[in-house]
Amino acid sequence: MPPELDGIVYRVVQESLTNIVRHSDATHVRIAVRVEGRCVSVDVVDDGRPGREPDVVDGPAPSAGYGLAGMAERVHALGGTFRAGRTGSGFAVGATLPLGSAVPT
Amino acid sequence: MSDPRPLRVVIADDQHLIRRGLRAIIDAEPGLRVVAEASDGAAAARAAAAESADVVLMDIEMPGVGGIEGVGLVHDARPQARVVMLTMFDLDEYVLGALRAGASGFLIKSATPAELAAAIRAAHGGDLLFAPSVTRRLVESYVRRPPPREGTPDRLGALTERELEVFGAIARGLSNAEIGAELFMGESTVKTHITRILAKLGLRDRVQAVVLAYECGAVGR
Repeated sequence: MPPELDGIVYRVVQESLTNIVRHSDATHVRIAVRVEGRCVSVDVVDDGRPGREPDVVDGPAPSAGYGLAGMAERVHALGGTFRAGRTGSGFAVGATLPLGSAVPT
Repeated sequence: MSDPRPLRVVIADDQHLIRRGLRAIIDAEPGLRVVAEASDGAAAARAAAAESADVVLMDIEMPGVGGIEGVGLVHDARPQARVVMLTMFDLDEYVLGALRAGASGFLIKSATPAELAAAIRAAHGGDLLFAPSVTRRLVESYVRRPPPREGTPDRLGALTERELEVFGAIARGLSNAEIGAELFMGESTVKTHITRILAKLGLRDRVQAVVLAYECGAVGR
């Protein structure tokens, strides 16, 4: 995989795990990295529930990578799509990126 | 999935002028109709249920029952409704907090009317996607330094030179360990400085410190 894709997949997992540790009551996390056709996708899904989580706004320092917005920006710059939101009873962050030449938008 | 009837939207913001502005924009959009206004999260939930809302546009920073708490209330009162959070402050904690609370979308108040309409439709459609235009604005706003407001430089005058350095480092998003490394002090010393800084400036936590730093133009010092 091209190094810039490698880096963003790693970053999505790292940032998502940091957020889960700091701001959720999750006890399980599922991480999936798949190559399907000409795309690579990464998904980080946790079982944290709304209303039971530490107040994010009062949490620790903002991450230097700007968290979700920063991840999404980098994914979009590589021509991919980024998603984040509740799914079922858990929370999911994911990105799908095209393999091959990455064209900045 | 196409639905000929307009999407029913509830607007929740404590500021009357903001509600009026949002109402005008949304009512002008084909396929969208404002069915109620609310000034806090609890009223938003009641209105969503009473008016069978499809989407609730919810300001985060409302006094009383705020937006984040309001998301849960809306989901209890009207599970079919999707919530789009609206905020003036482009802080990452707000984005994550809103989404983890169950919001389907997130928008900053400097967005365009077209982006607002798109966010409402995307939330109703079940999209969890971060649109490039939204995230670009979030990142741009996060790094842009707003002009210093009258009187704010005096607020920082209470800080010592060392405390100002730590304050600037907090605003750049550094952790305590990173601040210690950059300013050549131990982590416990960093924490002591931060406690004093928050007390001197009357702030509740680091997030408020970051907001103040941007307002004062202190980022970049």
